[in-house]
Amino acid sequence: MQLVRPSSVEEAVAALRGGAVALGGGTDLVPLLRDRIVEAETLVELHAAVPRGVRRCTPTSTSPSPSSARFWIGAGTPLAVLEAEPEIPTTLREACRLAASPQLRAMGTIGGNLLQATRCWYWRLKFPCWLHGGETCDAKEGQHREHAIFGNERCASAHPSDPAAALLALGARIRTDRRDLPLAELYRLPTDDDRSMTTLEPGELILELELPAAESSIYVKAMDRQRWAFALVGVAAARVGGETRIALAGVAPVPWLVSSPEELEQATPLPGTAYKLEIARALVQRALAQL
Amino acid sequence: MSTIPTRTPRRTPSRTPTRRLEPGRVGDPATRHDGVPKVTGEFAYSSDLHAAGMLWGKTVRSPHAHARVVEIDTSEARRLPGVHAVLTHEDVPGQKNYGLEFADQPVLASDRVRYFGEAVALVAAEEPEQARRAAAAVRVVYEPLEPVTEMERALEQEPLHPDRPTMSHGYRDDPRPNVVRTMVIRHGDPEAEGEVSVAGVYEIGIQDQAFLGPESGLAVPDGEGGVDVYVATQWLHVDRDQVAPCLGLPPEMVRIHLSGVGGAFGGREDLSMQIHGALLALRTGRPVKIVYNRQESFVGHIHRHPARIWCEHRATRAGKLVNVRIRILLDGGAYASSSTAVTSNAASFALGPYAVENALIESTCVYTNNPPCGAMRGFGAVQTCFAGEAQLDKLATKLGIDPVELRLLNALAPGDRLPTGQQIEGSLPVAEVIRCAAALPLPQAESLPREAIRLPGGAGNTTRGEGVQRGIGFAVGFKNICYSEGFDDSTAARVILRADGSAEINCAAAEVGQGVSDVILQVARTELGTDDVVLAPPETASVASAGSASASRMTWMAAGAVQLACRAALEERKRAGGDEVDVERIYRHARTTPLDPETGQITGDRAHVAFAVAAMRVVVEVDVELGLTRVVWIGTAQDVGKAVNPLAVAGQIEGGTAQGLGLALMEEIQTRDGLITNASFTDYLIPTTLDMPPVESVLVEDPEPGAPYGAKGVGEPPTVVSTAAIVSALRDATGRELARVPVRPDDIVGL
Amino acid sequence: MRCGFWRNVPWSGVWHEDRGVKIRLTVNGEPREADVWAGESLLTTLRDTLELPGSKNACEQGECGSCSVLLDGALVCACLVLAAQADGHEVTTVEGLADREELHRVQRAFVEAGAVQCGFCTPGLVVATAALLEANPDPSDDEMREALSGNLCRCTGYAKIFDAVRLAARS
Repeated sequence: MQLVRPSSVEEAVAALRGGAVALGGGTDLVPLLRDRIVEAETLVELHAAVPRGVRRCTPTSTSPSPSSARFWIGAGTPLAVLEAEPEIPTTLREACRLAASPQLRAMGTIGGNLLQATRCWYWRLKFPCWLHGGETCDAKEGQHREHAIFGNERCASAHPSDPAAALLALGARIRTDRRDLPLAELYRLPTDDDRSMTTLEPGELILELELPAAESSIYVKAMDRQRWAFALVGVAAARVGGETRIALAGVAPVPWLVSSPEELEQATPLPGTAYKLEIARALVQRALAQL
Repeated sequence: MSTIPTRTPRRTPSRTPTRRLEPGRVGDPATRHDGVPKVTGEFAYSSDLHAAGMLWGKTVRSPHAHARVVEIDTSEARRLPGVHAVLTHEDVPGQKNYGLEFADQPVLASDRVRYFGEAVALVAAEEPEQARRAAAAVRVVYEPLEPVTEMERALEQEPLHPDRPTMSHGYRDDPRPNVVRTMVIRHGDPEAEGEVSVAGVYEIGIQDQAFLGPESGLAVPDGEGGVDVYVATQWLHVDRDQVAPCLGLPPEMVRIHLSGVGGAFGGREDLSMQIHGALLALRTGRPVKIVYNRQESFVGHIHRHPARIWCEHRATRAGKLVNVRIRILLDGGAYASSSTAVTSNAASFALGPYAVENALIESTCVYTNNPPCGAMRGFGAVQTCFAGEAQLDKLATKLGIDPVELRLLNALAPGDRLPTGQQIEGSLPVAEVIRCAAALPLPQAESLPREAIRLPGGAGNTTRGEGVQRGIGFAVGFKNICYSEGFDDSTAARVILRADGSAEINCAAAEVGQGVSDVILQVARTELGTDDVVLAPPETASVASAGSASASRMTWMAAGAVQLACRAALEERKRAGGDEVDVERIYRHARTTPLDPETGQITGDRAHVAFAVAAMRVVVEVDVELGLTRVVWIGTAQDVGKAVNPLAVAGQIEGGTAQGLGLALMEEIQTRDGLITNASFTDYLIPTTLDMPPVESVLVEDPEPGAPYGAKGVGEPPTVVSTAAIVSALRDATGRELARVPVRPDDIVGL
Repeated sequence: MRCGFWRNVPWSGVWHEDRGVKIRLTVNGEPREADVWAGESLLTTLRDTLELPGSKNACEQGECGSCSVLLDGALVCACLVLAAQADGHEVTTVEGLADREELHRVQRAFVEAGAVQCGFCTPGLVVATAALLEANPDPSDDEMREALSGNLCRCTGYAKIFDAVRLAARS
């Protein structure tokens, strides 16, 4: 294995051609490499290449409400920086604060967090499950209380990112080295033909995020202990330009947008995840009440 | 080919006593003598050891919970760079099986594997990565067999072991397949009827010790056919006595040295890398270090037995217990470990510290292909306390009696008899402990609004008060101190008392973090009347056995031995005219005898040495809509005999309580067909700083006659009681039965 | 029957020919160099190459904080930082806190308050507490619990650790 340390986006993109793996803060990738779930000949360390920082920015033509204030965030910004940033919407700040322990938030970047791998233990233990290219989802047949209640027809894994739900509720956009897209379009439910969870092309690199200021927003998270556990259900809610959006973490293979509280009733919980729907109902109601 | 590494040898285990200490006598809240090296990072844990020319060992483990081993091909692994040895069962020169009490576990599997993670082969290589690759290159052909994973079905399925060594041991003969041990206690008239009765079925999930320092150690060949093993363990001499026969060596050629122990809690009673490291070291002629990672640690030691417990409590309308009928089923997993003793302990303490005239208790442990279970803090009493205390709450509700009053009404006292027929001879202040705990003032209900981290759901900010209900719980825990049932161990201490008045103490008691080395020093300073005392590093060659740092026995036994040896040394020195003396003394507790296999009754004066009791009062808040909980406050009173070091006692109470809180709310090993699926601290959660409430503790000092300074052990009672007390409070808050631990959000939300 | 697979042994070192990355960093105030493997963790480099085994390896997944060190002043888990990522940066480990003979006030407080039992979590907690008090000299109870929530302790139940933090804050 080798490590390259590009100092510009161009160098990083060039280095990522040919199957190299991008290394942000490393908090998710390093254990995946160690467990040989991700194999890499070349690691591309992004620290000096990908922008970091937060600033107010002028609205772009693609903004949903061009008049309101917007924020630019470099994809290499550590979560710890964002949680201490008083200007950005509460939902993102709180989601960053709740994403991990202080040590991990100091290293983990927002760009990397959006691409976190699932915590599904069957997948992490390399069971020959559907997501690994197999025939069936082991979670559906076995213990699955941490697993999905939406989008779980093929794979019942749950997406672990708290900030992704917050950014989805805010209607954030991301810019990669080759395109600009709404965050919602970064994620896809895996299909029989293509089992990836994102629409990123090989070697494509997330560089920046752009998000609106919110009139009001919140992130709340039900966990198995008081602190520092992955979401059983995370609820992000934001009112932007008069419109209220809700997104959930920990309930589907990808961060999950629900257009209204009623849409929760379309959930397809497994026997062991029915309680998550109960939690989601109550938590969405409470989050909306605080907007 | 590989070359000998040129690293500077460092942290080479030393035989010279190095610990010079701050003074502290019996009864003082002394600070730890190993505190400074532990806070500076200099303290050498077993994973920190290095030796010149050291190789790294790695264990090849079974990916199946149950399989026939068809073939093991090591040829490819042997050819890899840096590899010095690849060993299989054929390379075990002595006894092929080992075990803490019964030798039923193969050193390396030969024809069959019985649990996920069972050791099959060993490799040693220059570098850890080379060892890893070599381990991966050992080709093992398995023929998977159907795993036995259900306790109740195990009693009807094909036996996992061809013969059961536990059956020829004077235990009750049980013809059912896969029984490790069954024991029945018949007390009074087991058919006696009461005016009221309550019944329930309770379940306890499988808990991990989750000590932070994974299993590790260093084996160093002595060049003369023997071996020194530096390891984190709980009982040096029993390790030696298991290792030596498997190596085909006499015990004196195997020397076990205690290195820094990163927590134990029962999980280091059984062997981990000791035989494996020694085999590799003797084969290669080089020191071999083995360090498990966290996943390997989850299969590298035994766990707390999961259990299913059926109870019926019969009482008078006034609340006096008339008859208690309990059936306990424990899953022992693949090998015996200390399951036979856990089976008996679960039965012996199933009634709690209550005087009951009639009882029928049946306790059975079975072999399965689940992870092997054995000793963990509380040792069988945790499981039965959870069930029994839930029953008492149920009875109190049914009778409309205050739960504390109900317990006081039935409290055991010295002179009373246990269901085994044993009379309580020593100290057992049950009523006083209950009264002290119940008298602790409850904290005022906090007003709203308040910070999220002081609400159920914690940092997750899930409520501002919506759905929150407060609950108050109470429980009493009861357990024995010291080993029992004729397993009468002893502790040796050796004192070198010099002419200048200084002294060196040798004792093989394992310092696992509990502070026994401070106890030893405090006793020696007190007895010798000097602060100039050092403690030699514990090892098997310099002193006889200390027995195990288990069963809340080590303080009692080590204090007894050191006191005895110090007093003898002072006399000897007087006799020797003030010259240096070197004396060793062995301390024994009162003799115990086995229980009758058919009736569970004592066959002598006692089956247990002494008892301790703890009572706990708990306040919780539960968000009943989300199922999220918060333990607000814990108040506890504990019968400690005499606190040799009050600071350390408080630490034991707080830490033991935290482990019980973990079992109550979050800790459970998950398995799928016997495979552990959550072998990491991401998936197996233990309490964080935000999960632990303040613990207010009252020490009830009622000296134990016959124990040195009257001191009882203190490590286990808090763990025994806290799971039961916390769930009692959760029931009060939710109105739900909550008959299974851990209680998680899915158990509380309204489905 | 399906089977899981073994997580592999930690990257605690590899063959010498693979140590192709030379890193230069400041550790506890001293300039240090090490030849590391591209995938080697900072924890491994500190423990096995730079002979600073005070930082402990307990979970190697960033869950327990036993390997906490300061990287340019920020509290991180050394098990999840690649050694190569620390190239050119400043690292402080538990060994770097004491001023020669004099214990750091946090270290002294941990001993005095009885916050140490087995001690395996202690180096990480000492570093985390020092970082906390640097940023917030007088933390409230809630702030203290929050700041140390990434450091697991299995022995103490945390009460004496909180006592130690309060004691260190006062001293």
